[in-house]
Amino acid sequence: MILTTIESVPNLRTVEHMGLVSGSTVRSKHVGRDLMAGLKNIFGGELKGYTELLNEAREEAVARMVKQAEALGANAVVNVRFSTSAVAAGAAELYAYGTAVRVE
Amino acid sequence: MADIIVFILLVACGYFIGGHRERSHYRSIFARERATLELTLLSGKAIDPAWQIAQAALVTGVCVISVDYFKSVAAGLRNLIGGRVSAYESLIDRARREALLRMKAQAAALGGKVVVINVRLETSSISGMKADGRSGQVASVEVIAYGTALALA
Amino acid sequence: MKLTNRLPPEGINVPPTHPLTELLYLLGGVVAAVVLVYLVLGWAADALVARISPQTEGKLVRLLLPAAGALAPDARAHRAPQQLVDRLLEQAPPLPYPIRVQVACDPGINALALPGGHIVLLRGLLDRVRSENELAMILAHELGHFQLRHHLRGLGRGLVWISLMAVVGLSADYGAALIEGTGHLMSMRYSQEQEEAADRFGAALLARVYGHVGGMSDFFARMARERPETAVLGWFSTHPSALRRLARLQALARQRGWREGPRRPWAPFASGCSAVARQR
Repeated sequence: MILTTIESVPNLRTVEHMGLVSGSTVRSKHVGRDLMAGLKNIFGGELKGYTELLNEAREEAVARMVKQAEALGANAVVNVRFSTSAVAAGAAELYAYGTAVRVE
Repeated sequence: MADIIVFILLVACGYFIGGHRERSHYRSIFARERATLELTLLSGKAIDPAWQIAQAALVTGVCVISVDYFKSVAAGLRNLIGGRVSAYESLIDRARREALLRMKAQAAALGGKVVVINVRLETSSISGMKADGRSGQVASVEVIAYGTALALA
Repeated sequence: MKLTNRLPPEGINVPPTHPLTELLYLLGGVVAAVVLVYLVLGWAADALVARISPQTEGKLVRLLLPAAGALAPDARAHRAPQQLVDRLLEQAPPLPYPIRVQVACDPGINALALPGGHIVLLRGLLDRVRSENELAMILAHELGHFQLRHHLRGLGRGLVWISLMAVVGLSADYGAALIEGTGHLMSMRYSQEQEEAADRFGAALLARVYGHVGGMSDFFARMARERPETAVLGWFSTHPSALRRLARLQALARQRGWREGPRRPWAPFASGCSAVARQR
């Protein structure tokens, strides 16, 4: 599955547009990571635990979007955009959306 | 002891009533999605030169959905253990689809065959009082979907 | 631009797990974790406390805890129970600090073993004691707490638990209440075990001092009759229910072959509390 954030896939012709597909996820880290983050608040530095959390969330959201696109018969998703927000304390919500297309 | 009883009552309220509202909301979403299937949404800016555009307009759809007590409790416990918070996933799914449907409704008001391009979605959360009187973040999701509706001749 | 409109299938963005089963898994996981942590910390705290010598304990406690309030000032009220305790102490393993008995004007029915060797008898208890043997059993029970160092163990566990709660409470939300509840329940269980161990010590001491265990369970039996709510309220309170204590003591007496015997009378005496009340 080809993913791009531009209007089309370079060097390939877009044959069919299937409309909007999206993938979303909400993930949380366990108490241990929260404690480490609390300590980091004092000492400073990268919150590796939370970076990991957002990475996992991003991968899962993109995977779900790709699954939706595959179910529609597409082989590429163009114009992919991400959006994050904090729905609850300690949980990261992330979703990815794009247009499912068939290219050749 | 009274605290436990109130807690269980709130959780039961959240589970039964909240669950019922969620199911009925989903039924409404499915019905409207099937009905508005012909109105295509595209997240890109590309305009097909073959289109004859009669009108272009900004269309938006906003939806705010709050979490129920049962979901709060489940999410609170999940915060301790880590992993996917599936209680909230249905929440943002509903909010997002509802916002898109409302945007589609606004676009359909232009009349005729309509395509919405450059669709974007933004989410935020609104804080407020919690159900049991403590102040803190009420988990609610606000989604705004906006795009350019092209009424094709 | 060819536009094909199809709906993607459900269940991709919202996996079809039933919310109740998920909640039960989460609850089970959290409760199991709390129980495990409590047990592990408990053993660690006990091991640590066992290494504190009683002299250090006395010093520590005199630093940390002031004496309980509302004590009857006049010495006459303390004298008779003090003499009884001294007689019990002759037959008990030696303790590194002197045991002092004091009477408090609180109308509650309780006896407290405070660190440093202080036993405080509340007036409600003293007014309901009918024989010397009953009071001896109560005092011997309190001596058991001192002998088994229960008060310090409880303190050690409590401190560890409170610091853990403070750390977890910073990040958790509804989970905090669940964790505290489970921890509370565990500490109630632990405290009940301590009470039963003190009962066994007290009964053995009674048998040594009097040669029989007459009057050992009279007080508990009477309390169970007069206040039936305490008879069954076991699970959530710090003491085991009165019925359970009775049953355990009787089983122990049968096991060790202790006999019944005559009760010595206990003269009700003026505790001086009503005088204090009038002065207020």
